[in-house]
Amino acid sequence: MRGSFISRNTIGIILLLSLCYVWIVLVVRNADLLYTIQDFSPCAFTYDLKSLLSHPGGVREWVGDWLTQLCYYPWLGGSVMVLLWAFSAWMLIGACRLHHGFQILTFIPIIALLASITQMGYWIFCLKTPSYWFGTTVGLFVIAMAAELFSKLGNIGQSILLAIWILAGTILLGWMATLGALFLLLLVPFRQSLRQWAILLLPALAAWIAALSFYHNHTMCQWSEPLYWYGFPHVIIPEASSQLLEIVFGVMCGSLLLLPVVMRLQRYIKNNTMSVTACTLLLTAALYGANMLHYRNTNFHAELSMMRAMEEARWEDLLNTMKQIERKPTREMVMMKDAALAQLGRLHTEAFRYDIRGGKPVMNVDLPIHMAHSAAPSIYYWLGMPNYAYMWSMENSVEYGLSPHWLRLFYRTAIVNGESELAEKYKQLLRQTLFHAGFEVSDEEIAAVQRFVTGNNILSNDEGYIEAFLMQRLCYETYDNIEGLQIALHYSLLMRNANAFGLALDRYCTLLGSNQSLPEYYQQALLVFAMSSSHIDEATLASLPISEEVRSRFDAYRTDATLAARQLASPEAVGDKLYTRYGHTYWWYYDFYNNNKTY
Amino acid sequence: MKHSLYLLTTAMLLLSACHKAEIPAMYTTVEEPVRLLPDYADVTIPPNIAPLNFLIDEEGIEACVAQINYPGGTLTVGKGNHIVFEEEQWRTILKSTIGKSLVVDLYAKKKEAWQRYPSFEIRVAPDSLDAYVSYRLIPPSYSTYEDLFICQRCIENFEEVQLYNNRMLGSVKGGHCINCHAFQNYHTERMQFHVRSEYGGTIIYDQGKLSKVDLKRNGAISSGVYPAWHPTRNLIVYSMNMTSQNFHTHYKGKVEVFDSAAGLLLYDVENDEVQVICNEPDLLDAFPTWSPDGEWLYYASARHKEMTEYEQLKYNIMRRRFDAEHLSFGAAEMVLDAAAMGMSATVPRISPDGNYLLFTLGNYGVFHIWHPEADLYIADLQQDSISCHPLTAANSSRAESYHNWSSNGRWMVFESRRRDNNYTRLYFAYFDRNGEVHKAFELPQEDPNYETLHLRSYNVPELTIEPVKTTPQTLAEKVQSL
Repeated sequence: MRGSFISRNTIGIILLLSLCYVWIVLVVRNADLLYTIQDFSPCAFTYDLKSLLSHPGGVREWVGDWLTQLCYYPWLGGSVMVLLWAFSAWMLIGACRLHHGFQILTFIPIIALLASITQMGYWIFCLKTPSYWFGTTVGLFVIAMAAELFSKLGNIGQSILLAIWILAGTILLGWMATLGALFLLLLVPFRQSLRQWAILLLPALAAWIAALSFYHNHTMCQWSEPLYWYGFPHVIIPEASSQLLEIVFGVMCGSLLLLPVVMRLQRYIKNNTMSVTACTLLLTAALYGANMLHYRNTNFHAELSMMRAMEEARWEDLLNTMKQIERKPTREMVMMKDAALAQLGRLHTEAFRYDIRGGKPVMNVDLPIHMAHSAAPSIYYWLGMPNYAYMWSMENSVEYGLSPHWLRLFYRTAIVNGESELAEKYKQLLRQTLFHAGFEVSDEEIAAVQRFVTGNNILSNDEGYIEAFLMQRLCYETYDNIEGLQIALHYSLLMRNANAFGLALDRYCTLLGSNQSLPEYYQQALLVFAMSSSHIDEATLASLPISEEVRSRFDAYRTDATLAARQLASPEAVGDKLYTRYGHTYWWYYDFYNNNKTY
Repeated sequence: MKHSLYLLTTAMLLLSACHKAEIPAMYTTVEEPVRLLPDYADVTIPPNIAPLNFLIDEEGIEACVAQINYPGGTLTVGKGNHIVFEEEQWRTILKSTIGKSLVVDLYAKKKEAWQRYPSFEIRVAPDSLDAYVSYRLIPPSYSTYEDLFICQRCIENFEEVQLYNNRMLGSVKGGHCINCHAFQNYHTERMQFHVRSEYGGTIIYDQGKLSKVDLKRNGAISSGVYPAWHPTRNLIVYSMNMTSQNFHTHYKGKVEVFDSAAGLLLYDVENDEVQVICNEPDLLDAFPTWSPDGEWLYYASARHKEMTEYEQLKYNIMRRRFDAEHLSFGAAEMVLDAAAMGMSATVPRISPDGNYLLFTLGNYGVFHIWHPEADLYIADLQQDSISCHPLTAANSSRAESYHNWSSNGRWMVFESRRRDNNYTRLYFAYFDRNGEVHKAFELPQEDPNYETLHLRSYNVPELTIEPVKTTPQTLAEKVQSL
């Protein structure tokens, strides 16, 4: 190559910097995501030999899910992934004999794979593609290895390798075998005669027919998937799909197949500087595209962090994360905060100190995510409803695969329910995982949950609306301890149920003793319930255990609310105006928040 | 040197592979029996059953040895905490023990010291069990059905094949439920199962001909649910059930399945005709079954109750005479008044000789497999006044239900949650000529730890004398058809 102004070292530095960027994005910026994906990915032990071979790509799925376990330590899983990408790029450079001006192009498939992970957002809780996280990386690595070997073989060797690749690859790699076969075919040097082409292609064709007919007649593949493209990642649930996320894999495939094409064209490109500039621009465009796609919802990362803190009963950490969020929380975050305060026995003093609003998670596609798929089963558990925690863990593990997260919840609920044989079963299963084998439920945890488990059995159904169900169910729960009664009182406040509040408050006061003054939120609620009642007279109102400070603040709130209502047209606008000053009072919640049946 | 090392290593590996279990020379005797998994101590088994592999379920077992004393000799086996038999050796043992007992002497090594546990017997009955049992394998979930199989296991060995797998026609978008497979009179010439949700319908395999039918017609309130194939004619009775389920917040039964409306229908397979047998709004009918002569239709029936009164829902066993000529049924007759006992009886099954009624009795409700107190009961139909008693030797403190007779009437198969209260496993119990039931044994597996790690429940065990004659792919093609 002539006209070379950009040295090999410069290219090396660009590649190294790209690698560092990828590592930082994955391991530093998405550590909580990496931890969560291993926790919600199917356990590798759930595969057996029969199931591995029952559909194309079963082995790739198993290897992918096994490697996903490494993300228990995000630096480990992330680094292994980046290393696999780096080796893949290195082998692709070798296989395609790319001049250093074009070597940057090998990073485009990697950027696409990076984007396929970091942009997923709440899809991680309802992903049905087996081995989504590591599977394509494993496939790319194997393709790169095969390509490297292929490029070193002669004509006959290439024919044999191509046939073996198609036969074994279809079984072991699924759709990536087809991608790999296309890649190898593009690498093939031009053959001079028809006979040479026949030597190359006929064994490959025979291998392809053999592989497809094996699956067609003998195994349990999903018929909706074409056998030659079996296991291509789909980002889809019955209610929604994201073609944008699937396009990322299209970019990965396209940019991979571009490499052998560049290999053939590079001899015609004389100017190294131009090619480097063009490739750098392409890489920059890929990086920019990935960055644009990058799911930037800070709540998402905070929510993942809170979920892990709840798992590990790090309640103060959970509350600190909640305090630090910059935008309106999701309703699930609010519920986790309530569960943390319930466990700490501080619901009565702090429940309304945090942002008490909350809504659905914000996604770049309209994803009908249900909290039942993410944190709600754990919330059920910590609030003393192990049967419901178990039920949703079971439903999720059937729908999305048995992951360590659900397995641990199975184990926990069995322990709390006193089902020792069942707990032993789950313990044995946990022992088969790489990093959850030593998981134990402490006596403190059992006691912390069991204090909220009452003997009051009710036959009911949450219909998938967990928060609404918890409110209806727990506001009338007859707890025998202060912390439990705080839950009943809190949910009766959220329900605006004066009757349930009164019943729970009676029991609460009895347990608390008559000399204690009521927490401020209960005073606020007492006042607002009393004012809403048509039967209460002035004398009774005056006799309620409500401090003067609360009464005068309530008067100020009513005055401000009346003024705002005169100035603003909608109740929402009035609520927004009053939120800054009164957002942390029960009155504001009572008058303006009305969205508990969320998702 | 390197070469010698390889040889030595290979020799050691070969030696360890050929390690033969031996009775320890020194041991102490323990009075308390050790916990076996599965518990095969003092069970009665058929002479054609697969090896009863088991393990010692105790912490710290370093090794174990079992000496099997049978009429033809002795056999010593054991590796780790597993007792696993070679199939050929096991068959030899059973062949020489038919109608007799074999005695198992069990030794285990714990903290470097051997202990001998109390010996136990395994009786080999003179009567064989039907060679095949079909069941649905289902995760014990409540509303999701992503991953269901109907399987067939040969009980004479460990071979299990899938008859149907709903993943074939499933997709990431959704899938379909499959349930209630049934055969005609222990043969596989005729078979049926239901498909719900996507591709919904009933698949009927009739002597090589496959059809998919919609049974919700001619006034039927639902599609067919629990099936009963007439023993000789090509007719199927189904219950029609409007079923739903709710969850207990704390009760260990976890879920309550109940009907808001139910009745019975008759499906004439040859003529593709549906006829409602009964559909009274104040009655809930379920679990039909035929008498072996095909003259009576037995079923469970209860007075309708609202969901809030679920504990008052008490099913009795009823029957109706069948007029084969006119395909009509007589008036309902009470067979067993469980409600009068304050109980609820479901899943009636008549023994092949017509003499016994086998059913499940629980405190309330219809779906006893979720009721820990539910047990198997039997009633002698030859007596004028019918009374019943529990099959104590077969029952456990946890739920037993969905039972069936073997074709010779000497064996029963049933589901039980006795292992852990959550996952059902299959059990077989011998019913001898004196009408006595023997201790039940769990379906043997090649790896004795298999059921501990297995995350699916066994559902609807149906015995047949022959294997199923169609393939999953053929069935899937029919399921997919309109």
